[in-house]
Amino acid sequence: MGDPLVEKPTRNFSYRSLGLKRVLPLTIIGLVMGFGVYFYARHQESINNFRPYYYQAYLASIKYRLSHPVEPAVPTLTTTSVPVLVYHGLIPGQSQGQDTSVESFTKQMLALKNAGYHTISIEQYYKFIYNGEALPQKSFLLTFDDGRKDSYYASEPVLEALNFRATMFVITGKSLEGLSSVYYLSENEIKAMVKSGHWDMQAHTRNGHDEYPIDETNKAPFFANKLWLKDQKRYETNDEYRDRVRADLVGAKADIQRELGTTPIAFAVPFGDIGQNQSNYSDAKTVLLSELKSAYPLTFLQATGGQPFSQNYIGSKLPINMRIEPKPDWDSIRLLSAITSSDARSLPYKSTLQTAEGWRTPWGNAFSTPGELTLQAGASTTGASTTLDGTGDWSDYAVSTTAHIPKGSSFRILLRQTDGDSYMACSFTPTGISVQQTRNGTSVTLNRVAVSTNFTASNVYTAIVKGHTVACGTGGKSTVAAITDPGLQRAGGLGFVVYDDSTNNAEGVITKVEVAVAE
Amino acid sequence: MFKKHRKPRRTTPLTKFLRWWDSTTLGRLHLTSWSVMFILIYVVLLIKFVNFQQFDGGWLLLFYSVAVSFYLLSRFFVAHFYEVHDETFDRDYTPTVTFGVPSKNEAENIYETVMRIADIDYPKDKFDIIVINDGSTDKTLEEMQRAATDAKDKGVTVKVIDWEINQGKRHGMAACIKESSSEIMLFVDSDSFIEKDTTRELIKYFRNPKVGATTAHCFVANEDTNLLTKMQAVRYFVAFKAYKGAESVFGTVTCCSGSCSAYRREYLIKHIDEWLSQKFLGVICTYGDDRSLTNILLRAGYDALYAPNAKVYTFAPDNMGQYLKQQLRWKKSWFRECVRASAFMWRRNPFMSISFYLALILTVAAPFIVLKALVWYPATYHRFPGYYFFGVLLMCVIYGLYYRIYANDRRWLGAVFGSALYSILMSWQLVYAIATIRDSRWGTR
Repeated sequence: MGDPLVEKPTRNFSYRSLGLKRVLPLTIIGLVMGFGVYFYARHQESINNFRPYYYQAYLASIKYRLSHPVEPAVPTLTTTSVPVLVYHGLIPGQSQGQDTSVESFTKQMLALKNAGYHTISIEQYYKFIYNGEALPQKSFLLTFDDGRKDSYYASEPVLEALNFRATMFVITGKSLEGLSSVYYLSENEIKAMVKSGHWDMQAHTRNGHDEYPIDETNKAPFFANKLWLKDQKRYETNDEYRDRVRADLVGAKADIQRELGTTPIAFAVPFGDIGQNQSNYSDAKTVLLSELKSAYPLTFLQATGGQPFSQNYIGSKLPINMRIEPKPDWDSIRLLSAITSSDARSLPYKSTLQTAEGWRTPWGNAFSTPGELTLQAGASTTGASTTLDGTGDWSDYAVSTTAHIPKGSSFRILLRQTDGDSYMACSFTPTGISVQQTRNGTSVTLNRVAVSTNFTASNVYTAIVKGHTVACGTGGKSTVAAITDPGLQRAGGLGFVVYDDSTNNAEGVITKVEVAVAE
Repeated sequence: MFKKHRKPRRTTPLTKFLRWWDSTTLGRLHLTSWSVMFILIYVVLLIKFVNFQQFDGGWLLLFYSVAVSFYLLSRFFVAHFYEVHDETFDRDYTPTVTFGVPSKNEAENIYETVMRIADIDYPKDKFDIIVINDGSTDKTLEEMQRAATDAKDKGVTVKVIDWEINQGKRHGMAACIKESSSEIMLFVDSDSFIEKDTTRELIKYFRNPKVGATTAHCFVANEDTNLLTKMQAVRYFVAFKAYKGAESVFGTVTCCSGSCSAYRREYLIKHIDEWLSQKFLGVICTYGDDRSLTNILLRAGYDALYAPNAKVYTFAPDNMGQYLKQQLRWKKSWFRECVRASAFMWRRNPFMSISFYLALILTVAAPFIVLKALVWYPATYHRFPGYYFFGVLLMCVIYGLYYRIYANDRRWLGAVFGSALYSILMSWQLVYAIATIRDSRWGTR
């Protein structure tokens, strides 16, 4: 609009420059900082709780993401057994006790992923056990006990990168009752975990993770013992024990319902201790199991040596479920073999007679040489036993084994194992064959026939179970049979025991094991 | 001369390398310092975010904590945009200038001061000097006369006014303004030295008729004497570059420093008698002349600007006693003039008004926040107030880095710790200053 003949009337007397040179760098820095604050706000908890040693998990997850841009497909074939892994804390340095080093954990998860494994939710697991709903091969349930901050923050990057989900068993008294802790997860953290979509929250206990007085001086685990009431100078009564246990189980459930709005379906027993180790109350296990059963459909225990099976079977409807706990000295190969060697075996089955096949040795010693599996009593044991993992869902089956017994007074084939203390057996002695039923460590002979057997020679021993009927024999014939208690749970299982009345004097050499479907 | 006051620095291969690096193009970008500074600013932002998040109903504390960081950081941000457009500058613009140098007992420095002015890069017929001997008891008058004679040889007129009885600096300045017939009045403290081009750099802004005053960037000439002077050097630098720079964006520098500032005489003369008889709480004001002079022009609606390229060097107190006295004087005049300025600041640019009132509130609140953090908090919670110290230190390091970048001086770290201590301990001096504001014993310099 200006007239070119008239000089500009005003000069530019501005004191500020909004030129690109000044504005652009600040805008960029402003955006970066704005994003920085947003990033912090979004990841505040993990940033505040970051410990330098978690870097391994972050590094591994970045590496994995870069090298595996595409998520591998889930197998289409289905499985009949599912392993459950349990971890506790994730710590720096070396694995120790129940805690796993971040490095080992990360390596184990990567190894599982690379071997084609994928995780399932607790809901899927429940349906697998109770409704018999199929799961793809190489499914596993990943669990953590105790609800610790380190196990969440150190595993989170790995889980996210591998597209894994996990179940956290929380101690509700520590995490969901408003206490603040640097060790246990807080309410907010737990809610954030649920919101993330790859964590399931289940119950570990409310207050039962600590040890309590069992007499004037000693303390012991909460669930396995009757407590000593100091002020009254007496032990709890049976009813008091039951009420206390029930209150804790129901309380933990109520805490989760109140804070998270979901009903927990699984309970992991603290220390995996239901009184099987040390207890001042002989009925603790029975009472506890019945209380657990009425409060939670699923109870998780660790698959220790005494337990015949490490995995859990489709449609088993069993309230007790087994978890594999990686030991401090396990590397990822050992973990993979612990899983593969406990996978369900299909019938007919022929053993390789190698311990690595999945032969567990809860008692005495077992070792293998090519073509032979040898059982030997230890220096202080009166015998030895071995059981084959992955046989839990065999229903009607016939075992045929060739063995010679250089030392010892009896040789038994175990069948229908519901746990380490409860099973059916065919028992062979040089003078007879009998069918035995063992419940909670107490054996009863159901039927016996006098037959002489030359133990030192190689013989064929057979054990057949069909429905509730067990038949035993030598030389390929069924010599003795009995009908077991029909009220008992049906289970699979295969094991051998050698026994002698004196210690260190039992030995059996098994040279062939074949199992077929019983006709 | 002032540059030579620096102590010789130790030279090692490392310092040699660092000095070389700082002189390279890449070194001058100060990438490390910038990065660290922005990371620290990011930390401040995160702390503020957490403050909001952990808000427990303490509105005042939250307001203070957020406002103080916002205010301090906003100085750097706003100052970044200060730039007077070159179009207004013109080398041929040479209005007449009078240098006013009122002095008392300055026999040692006055000759040097006058001769430095006489030597400036400015047409000799366009400027003169008025020196006032304000009742000196030493040889100041003789030195003035000697300087007048020597300056005359160079073609510069020096007018010497001799007062037998001391009347105070303010009366001296007023006499200079009244005696002068120039367009621009330029005051230089008798312990400050200007460079040859300082005058032109100060005066070029007066091309804009709205500009009533400009102030030069004041460096501490004795910065290497001890930690105290180094600390003041850092504070001076940031006070000019960032604070006055930010105020200049709105044409509202609240204090045109007494060490070297130029005023448009025509605007001053109208208010000179009012200024001379200025009273606060019934007491004649005898110090803080620079701040009150600036206030008068701002109130009248004129602009005051900071001239970053006009340099002046001044000697800062190098012992604690002198320093505390100077700070007390400054704090009294700061408070007095802020109260007066509050009456008209709201009419200036809204951004300026907000930051002015904010600074006033925050500074007055500071001693009580210090009390709360250092006495109440440890007494109540039995915990060391680490969080508070961390915050103060963080801010001081940001200041130090700003100084390191713009002043290109590697020796800033010690001063940062000094500044941290200063901000904490000296905040209480303000309370004392306000309580004794009617006592003007330290009024004269």
